[in-house]
Amino acid sequence: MESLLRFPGNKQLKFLRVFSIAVLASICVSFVLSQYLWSPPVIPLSGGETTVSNRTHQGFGQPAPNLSEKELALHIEGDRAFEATFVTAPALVNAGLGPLFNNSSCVACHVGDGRGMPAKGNLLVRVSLPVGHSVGANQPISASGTNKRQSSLFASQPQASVTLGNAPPVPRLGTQIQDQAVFGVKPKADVEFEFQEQSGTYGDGQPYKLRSPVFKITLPDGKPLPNNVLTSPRVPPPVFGRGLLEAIPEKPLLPLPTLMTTIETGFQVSQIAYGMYARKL
Amino acid sequence: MGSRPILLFSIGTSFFVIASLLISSCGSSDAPSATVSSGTSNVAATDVKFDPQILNDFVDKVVIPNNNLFAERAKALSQAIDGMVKSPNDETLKNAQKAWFGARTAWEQTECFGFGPADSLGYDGSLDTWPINETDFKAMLKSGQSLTADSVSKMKETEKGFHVIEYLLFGNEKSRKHTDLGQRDLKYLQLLGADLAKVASDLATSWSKGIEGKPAYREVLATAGTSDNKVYPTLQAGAEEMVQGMLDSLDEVANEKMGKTFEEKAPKLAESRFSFNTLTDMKSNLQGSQNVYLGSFPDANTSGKSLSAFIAQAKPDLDSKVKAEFKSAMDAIDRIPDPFEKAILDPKAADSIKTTQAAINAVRETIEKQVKPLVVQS
Repeated sequence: MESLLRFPGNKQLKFLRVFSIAVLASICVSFVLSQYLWSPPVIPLSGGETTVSNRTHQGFGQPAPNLSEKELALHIEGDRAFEATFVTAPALVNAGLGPLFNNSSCVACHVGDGRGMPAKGNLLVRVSLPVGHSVGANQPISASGTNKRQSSLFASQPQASVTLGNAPPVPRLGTQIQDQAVFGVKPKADVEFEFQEQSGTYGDGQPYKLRSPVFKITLPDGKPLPNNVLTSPRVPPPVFGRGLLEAIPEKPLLPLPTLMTTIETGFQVSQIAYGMYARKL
Repeated sequence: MGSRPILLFSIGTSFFVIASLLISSCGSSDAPSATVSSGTSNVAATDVKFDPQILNDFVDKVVIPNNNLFAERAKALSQAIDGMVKSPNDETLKNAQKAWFGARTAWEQTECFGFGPADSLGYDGSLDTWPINETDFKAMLKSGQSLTADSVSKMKETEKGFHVIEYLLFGNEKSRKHTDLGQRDLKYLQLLGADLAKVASDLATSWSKGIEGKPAYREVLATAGTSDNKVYPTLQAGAEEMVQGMLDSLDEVANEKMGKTFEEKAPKLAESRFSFNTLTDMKSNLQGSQNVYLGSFPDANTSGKSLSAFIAQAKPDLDSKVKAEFKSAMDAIDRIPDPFEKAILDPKAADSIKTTQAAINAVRETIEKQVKPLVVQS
C-alpha cells in the first residue's frame, strides 16, 4: 500500500514539475509571440523627420521638429515678420503700410498659416486684360524662365503689385485690386460679394445645389468694372511647406540643365524667386 | 513513459499560448490600432484616461466665466467713458482709466484660449491689435469725416480696440490730462468704448450660445471625440487644443512681450506702454495659463475637474513640478520693478527679467515635453 501510495505521489510530483515548466515556457513563448503579433503597427511619417504631430489650430504654424537651433531662430524671425501688423508711416513700430494694400499683415489673410476663407478681408481679386490685348502679347516665355514682355509691361505699370505670367495688367488697376488704403487715399475699387445658390438635377435625377460667389466691383468714380476686364477671385493658399523645397540643396541640381543631362535624367531645373526646384519632364 | 511529459508539455504550452493570445487580443481592442512614431516625445503613456469632464469644466468653469467677466468689465469701461464724455474732469478720466485696467486684466487672462471664435471670427483683431495706426486715426480726427458707430466699425483694426482707447485715455507715458482731449477725440473714444463692449459681448456669446448661425464653441470643444464633431474628431484633439493655448500664451509672454522688448531695450515694443500696464498684462497672461492648468477662474470663484487632477493621477510628481514651476514664474514676475517700460532700461532690474523669462520658459517646456504627450496619448 505504501509503495502504491508513494508511487502516484512521485508521479504527480513529476507531473507537476513538467507541467509548471510547460507553463513558464508557454508564458515566455506567448509573451514573445504577443509582442510580435499584437503590437500596433507603426505608421511611417509622411514628412520624415520634418513631420509635425499637432492637431490644434496651430498645427500649420509649427516649425519642423528637426531644425537646428540656428534654423529655428530663423524660422521664429520669419514667423514674427509674417505675423507683424503694419501701420502708416511715420510710426515707431512697423511703419510702411500702404498707400494701397489688401491687408495689414500676412497672417490676416493666410489664417493660422493655413488656407484663408472666402470672406471679405481674406480673399482678393486678380484682374487682367485678355491675352493679346496689347502689342507683343504672344511673345513666348524666354528660355531663362522669365517673360521679357511681361517684365516690361510690369515695369510700365507701377500699379501692378504682382506679375501674372503673360496676362496684361489693367491700366490704373494693375493686376490685383487693392481694396484698402491709408487715410486720405482712395482704394482702387470697392469689392463686395455674395453667394448665390443654383439648383439643378443630375442625369440620374438626383437634385443638387451649387453655391457660387457673385462679385460687385465698383471703381472710385462709382462705375462698375468694365466688362472686358477679366477677374479671378483668390482664396489665400496655405503657406507651410516652402521650407521643404528650400531644404533641397542646389548643388546636385545645378548640373542638370545641360541638354545632355536633361535628356538623360528627364528632369528640368527651374529657378524661382524663392529657390530652385526640379521638374520631371 | 518518455512521450507523456512531452505531450503534457505540448498541451500546457498550447493552452497558455492560445489563452494569452486571446487575452492580449481582447486587451488590444481598446488600444489605438496604430501608433504614429513621434520625434518629439518619448514620454511613455500611462493607463490613466483623460476624463471628458475636464474639457467640460474647462469651458464652463474657466473660459465662459472669464469671457463673461470681460464682457461685464468692457461694458463698465464703455459706461465710464460715457461719464467722462458727459463731464470731462480729473475724476471722470481717472474712473475711465480704472475701468480700462479692469477690462484689460480680465481680457489678458483669456489669451490662452484665444483659439476658436476669438481667432476665426476676428474678435481678437478687433479688440487687441498692436501696434495702433496713430498716423491714420490722428489724420481722421483732424479731418471733417463723419464719426458714427458705423464709420468706426468699418475702420481698420489698428484704429480701434484696447490700445487706441488706451492711447486716448492715458497719452504717452501715462501723461494724459482731460483738457488734452477735444470734442472729436471724446466722440471717437465714446464710439470705440461702445464697439469694444459690443465685441466683448459677442465673444462671450460665441462661446456660450453661438453667434452668426454658428454653434456655441462651448459645445464644439466639450463634445470633442463624439461622432458628429468635425472640429475635434477625438477627445485628445480637444484636450490638445486646450494645452496648445497655454503653450502659445506662455511662449508669447516669455519670448516676445518680455524677451524681445528686453533684448532690444525698446519701450516702444512694450504692448501697453501708454498706460505702463505691460507688466500687469504679462502677469494676467501667466495667471490665465495657470487657471487653465488648475481648471479654475479665481476672479469668479469657479473651479472644476482640472488638467492638474489628470496629471496628478497619471504622474503625481509631474503635477507637483508644474505647480511649483508656475509658482516660481509668478514669484519671479512679481520681483520685476513696475513699470516694465522702465525696468528694461535699468541694469539693476535685468536679473529679475532674465530670471522670470527662464522661469516661464521652464513651465512651458515641462508642459510641452511632459504634460502634452500624456494628454495626447491618454
